[in-house]
Amino acid sequence: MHPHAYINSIHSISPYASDAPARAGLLSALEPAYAPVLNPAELRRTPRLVKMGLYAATRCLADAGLDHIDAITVGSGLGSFDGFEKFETSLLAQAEDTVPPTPFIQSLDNAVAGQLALKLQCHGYNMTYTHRGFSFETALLDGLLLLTEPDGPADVLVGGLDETTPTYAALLHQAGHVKNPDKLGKVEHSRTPGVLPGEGATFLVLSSARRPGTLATVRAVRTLFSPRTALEVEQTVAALLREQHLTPADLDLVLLGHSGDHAHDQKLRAVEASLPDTPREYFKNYCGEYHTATAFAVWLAVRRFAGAAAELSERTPYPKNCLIINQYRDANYSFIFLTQD
Amino acid sequence: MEVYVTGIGMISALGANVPTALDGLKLGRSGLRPLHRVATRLQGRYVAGEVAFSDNELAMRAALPDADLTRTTLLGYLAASEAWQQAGLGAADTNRTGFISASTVGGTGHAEQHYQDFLDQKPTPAFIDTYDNGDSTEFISRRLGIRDFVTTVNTACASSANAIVLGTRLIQQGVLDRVVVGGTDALARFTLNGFNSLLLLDPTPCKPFDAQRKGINLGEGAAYLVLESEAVARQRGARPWARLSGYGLTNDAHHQTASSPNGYGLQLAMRQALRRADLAPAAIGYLNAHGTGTANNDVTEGQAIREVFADAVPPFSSTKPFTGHTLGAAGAIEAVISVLALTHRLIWPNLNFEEPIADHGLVPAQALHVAPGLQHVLSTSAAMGGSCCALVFSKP
Repeated sequence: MHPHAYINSIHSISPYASDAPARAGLLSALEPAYAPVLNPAELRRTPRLVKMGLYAATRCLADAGLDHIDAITVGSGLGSFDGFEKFETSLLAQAEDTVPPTPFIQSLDNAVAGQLALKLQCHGYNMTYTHRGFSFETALLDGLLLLTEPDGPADVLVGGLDETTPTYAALLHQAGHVKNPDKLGKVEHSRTPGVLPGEGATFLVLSSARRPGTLATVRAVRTLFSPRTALEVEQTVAALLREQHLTPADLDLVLLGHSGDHAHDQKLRAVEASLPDTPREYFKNYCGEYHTATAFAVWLAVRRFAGAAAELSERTPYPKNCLIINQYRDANYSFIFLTQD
Repeated sequence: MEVYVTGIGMISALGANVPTALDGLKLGRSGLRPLHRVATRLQGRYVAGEVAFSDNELAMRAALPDADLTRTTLLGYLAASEAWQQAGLGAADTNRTGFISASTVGGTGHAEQHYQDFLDQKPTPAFIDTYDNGDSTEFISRRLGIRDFVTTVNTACASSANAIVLGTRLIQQGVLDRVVVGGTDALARFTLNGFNSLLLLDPTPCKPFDAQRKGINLGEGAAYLVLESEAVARQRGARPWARLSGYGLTNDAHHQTASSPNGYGLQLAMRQALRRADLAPAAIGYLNAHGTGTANNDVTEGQAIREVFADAVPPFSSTKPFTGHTLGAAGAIEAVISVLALTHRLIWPNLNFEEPIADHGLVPAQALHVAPGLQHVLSTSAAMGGSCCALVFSKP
């Protein structure tokens, strides 16, 4: 089964700014002015991650010209960590006495998908996946499945979002996952451990029908859990290309999810060596490392299809296809193949 | 493509495995006890469905004494292993196999033991590495040797029912041949205080669907089902416990923490499930209801049941007075309890019920009933964030 579907709109809130120099420290999402898009209650009451999600999703539906949606699938590796830290801190400070409930409600990982259902009055399918580097991938795959089901929807709102709060960043640092600031640089040149934490919120409308404004076609979504060798990753890429009747030489662009952690990136280094002539970008230089960084990579691919990458490659200034290859902590490998046609 | 349940596993306040839980259900023996294991000031104030083993005892039972695992992972591993073995499965074969687990608490119970030290800037273990919901899923997948498809669902109290839906669809669409689906959640100070802050906890054993109900008793546990395609189940001669004949997955889209007055989302979920199973409401011989015991849930769920079944409401019960509300594990625990009802043709009692809710007047089953013609069982879940889910299990 090789279902495919169309990306009819996409919106991303991310740290990416095409003219920004490489930054040190945490890569924070560049937040928009929420007021024109969110209502006063949402502006006042919702935590930052939910705001980013509601904003990206609302923009996305508007761009697709939709005023309703039949299904929502969301991936978030960590969900609302902000709700956890606030409620936990409050119950410790109050010694479990008269703790305000709001942060507890906001700590629910399905808060974004639930609030979207509420806002859009969507009574249909509603799912939230919280699995590390497979969170967005499962949401995207679920969207593809839904569109092919006999009684399935015509459009699915698919999202991937994660927030790196200062507390979460401190915990990552304490656990040894953050790169020493002296060693920061392009992820592909890293020879040291640790990553630069990032964040972002990306939503897209995935549809069974092509429309005049269709941005890209999702041709394949694969995940590979805990491969033992780089060869397994290479074989997955080879199988995916074979299913698409392509050879490595046919690839116009590969977006690689090197994290900057030298050990975790080893298998991806071997994989990219097996695609020596394909133009490539390392998307975590722009968005940092987080569970749902591949959602940003899909946004980047769509942007590259539109030709916003004059600096990218003289050979393919307007790529027609793109393979995203990602790893998260050397356990979650994923592959998303997109075309523009 | 038909989807069969070929293995079940469960650990809960009812006991360490499916046979003990079955005994408890038959004897009407609740697993609720005064809260005593979780380190919280709420001890002495509430009853809960705690699993009767310490973390060390669970680790010994799992033969993993040195692995330093969270309670959520230990519970999940024990239940998933039972389901796997019970399905007659061993080392990995060539069938495309997945593991879809649900959790809402993840490693929160471990993180909260160290959070004060973290705030005080004292050294702590790297609890962030086991905090997330995916941690238990990855450990269990690796131990069972499942690598073809691995993911984690969190849709609050509908999580593991929704994991069952995804697994079913992946088999129906031919993406997988076999999938272990379910969920695991350990009790934590965090969740106890969360529900306490919402004033949703009943200090005494809960009374679902009773006019005098006061709220939830939280519980903990894990349950998993092995789902297989008809072809694979037949080919290896697996014993089918049940056929997963229908599902419905919707959102109530009414309020972040409360259900709509007529349980609209739940109605839709039940209707979808019946339609996919190609069954009339009258075909359902037992309904395992969500029935948390809160004022809001039991009145709105009752209205939804009335809307779908009108005056012909099937025998129904909430089994939460046996297990407590196990949050992310609840949908799978109740799926296993529904499969046991179907297999043994028994209808489980709704313990502690005395007086119907005036709004809908529904009276649940109050004693163990034998139901010789039981062919189809419906199980429902509802959650904060609006998630609603209904599953139909049918005689294979």
